[in-house]
Amino acid sequence: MPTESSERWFELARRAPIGPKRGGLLRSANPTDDVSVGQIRQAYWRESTAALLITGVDDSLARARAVPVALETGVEDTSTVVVEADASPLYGPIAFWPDAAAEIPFAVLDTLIASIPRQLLEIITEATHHGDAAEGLRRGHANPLLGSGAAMAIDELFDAFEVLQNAPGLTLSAAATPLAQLDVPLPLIVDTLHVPQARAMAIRIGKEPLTRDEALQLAAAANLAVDDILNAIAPLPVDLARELQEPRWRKPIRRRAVDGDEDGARTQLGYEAYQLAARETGQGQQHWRQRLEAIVAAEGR
Amino acid sequence: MSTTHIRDEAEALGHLGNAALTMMRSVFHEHMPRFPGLDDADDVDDLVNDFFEAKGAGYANAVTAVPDDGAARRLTSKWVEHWLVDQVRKRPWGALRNRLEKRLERSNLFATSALAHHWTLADGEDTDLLVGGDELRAIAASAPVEVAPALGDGPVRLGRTGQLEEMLLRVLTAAGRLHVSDLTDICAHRFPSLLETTDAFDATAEIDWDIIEETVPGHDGAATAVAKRHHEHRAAQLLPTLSARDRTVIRFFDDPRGLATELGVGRSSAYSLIAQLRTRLIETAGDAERGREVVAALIGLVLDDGAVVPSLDDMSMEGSNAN
Repeated sequence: MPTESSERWFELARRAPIGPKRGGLLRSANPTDDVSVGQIRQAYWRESTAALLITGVDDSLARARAVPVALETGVEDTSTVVVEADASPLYGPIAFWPDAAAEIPFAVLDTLIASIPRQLLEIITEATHHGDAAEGLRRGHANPLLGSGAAMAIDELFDAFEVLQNAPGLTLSAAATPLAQLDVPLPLIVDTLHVPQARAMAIRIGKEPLTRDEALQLAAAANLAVDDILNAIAPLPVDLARELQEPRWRKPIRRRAVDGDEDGARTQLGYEAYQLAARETGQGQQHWRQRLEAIVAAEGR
Repeated sequence: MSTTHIRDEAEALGHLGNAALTMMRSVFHEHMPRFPGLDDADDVDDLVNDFFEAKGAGYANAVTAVPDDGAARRLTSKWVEHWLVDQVRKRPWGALRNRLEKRLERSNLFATSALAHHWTLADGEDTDLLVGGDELRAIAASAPVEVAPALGDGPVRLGRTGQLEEMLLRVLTAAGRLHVSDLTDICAHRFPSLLETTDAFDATAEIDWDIIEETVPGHDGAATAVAKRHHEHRAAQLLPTLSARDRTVIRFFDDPRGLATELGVGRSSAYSLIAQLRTRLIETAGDAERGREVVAALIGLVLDDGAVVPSLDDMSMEGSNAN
């Protein structure tokens, strides 16, 4: 039986809808959503999390210029630009720190929370130079008192933003072909690593990553140096590595991650797509996206 | 496997649902024992509702944007902590504002402005001089105000005769006129101990401002040698009251980056820790100038005292928000 305070809570919940005011629910990582200027996205790396406004995109390097954002009402200081609830794309005010803009890798980005229309975006990013410029927009009132809740929130936001800036992003490998062929007979791979023949074949042609332990075992069995084994594994093609940085793959990557190791899970997913490609034609980011979609769809939700 | 009940439910409803309510109440139950300043009368369910009303759609959007229920709970825990800290501070803050207004009314140095809730100098112009908050706080910090520590159950004594008025006079001379909230902010920055939880609240609420006028005038500060010995003495007195964490902050007083590494916190948090300790030391020492001298003396003492500084491992655990 709902109590009086529960009823009140549900009334408050109805008055605080999620998602943007227009266009219904625009949640989560829709496969068609590219990272673009004006988006407010949730970003996280390990335990550090923050909402960010994308103000610039370097598509080839999968890096974005971003501004820290607070959705927490009352969290602001004198360098904040606040979009009041009336002018906000969400049913609540949003605070931005345009002067704190910095680069982050796509790999930290996740859910799309809202999009800021271009005109409003320009005012927000320019506001610090032109003072108050638009209705529903204002500068932060004052710096919060030391030790107050708002001061704690701002510190946590900027600490998290610092972690996000330093998170690993796209590293472009020099070539998409292995440095050397793996000169190990197929049966030896099957017996040593206890893998099915299909995976053994993929390992042999360098389209399947090995753990350090597996590489050590194989090196011992084949009487080779570990480096010879590791050199025979092809780095992922540039377009595939680039596509894997898109936030649309964050969820399946996170689902696969063991102990939060997203980097490892991303590489693993990449090699699955790479093996699939061995039986298909076509290249470029678009093709890799389709293959990744097929893999993720096949494993269900 | 991590669950996403809170988000799934919200996406189906368009707003937060039962899973969020249950989680929010559980987070509040977890935090309440850490905030003894809240009355027993504060029903947790009511506090949850007050929090939700204050944070509204911003909270609903934030808590459904994080990857799973665990992250939603961690985010809620942080927001609840921020909010509870402010709820507890609001009470002494309101008392401070009331007392400050009485003090302004009683002095013939100050007059009410034509603008509601604003104060100006009795013989000054009723106008805004557009000076930054940081500058005003620096002016307040440079004005000497002795704070006598509360003895037993007695009230905190804030300033010898006319010292608080002198500080307000300097601030209003620079600012022209100020809202009483801004004046309260400046005082709250200048005297952070007045905003510490329950004990300070009680002391502040019970402050009889007359007591301040009855205290004896301060020393004239003529002899530097005496002053220097005074700072060293003050530093030596303070040293045992510093926590292990405070000592670490002192060691890295001019090196926020080093402090961040040492404590395993972010740089912004390190800056705040240093600023907080500086403000506390200014309050204790009497003004910014003497605060600096005491800090200098303390740095010497803490560095000499290196051998007895407790293990830093304990502290980095206690202070970490970055793991």
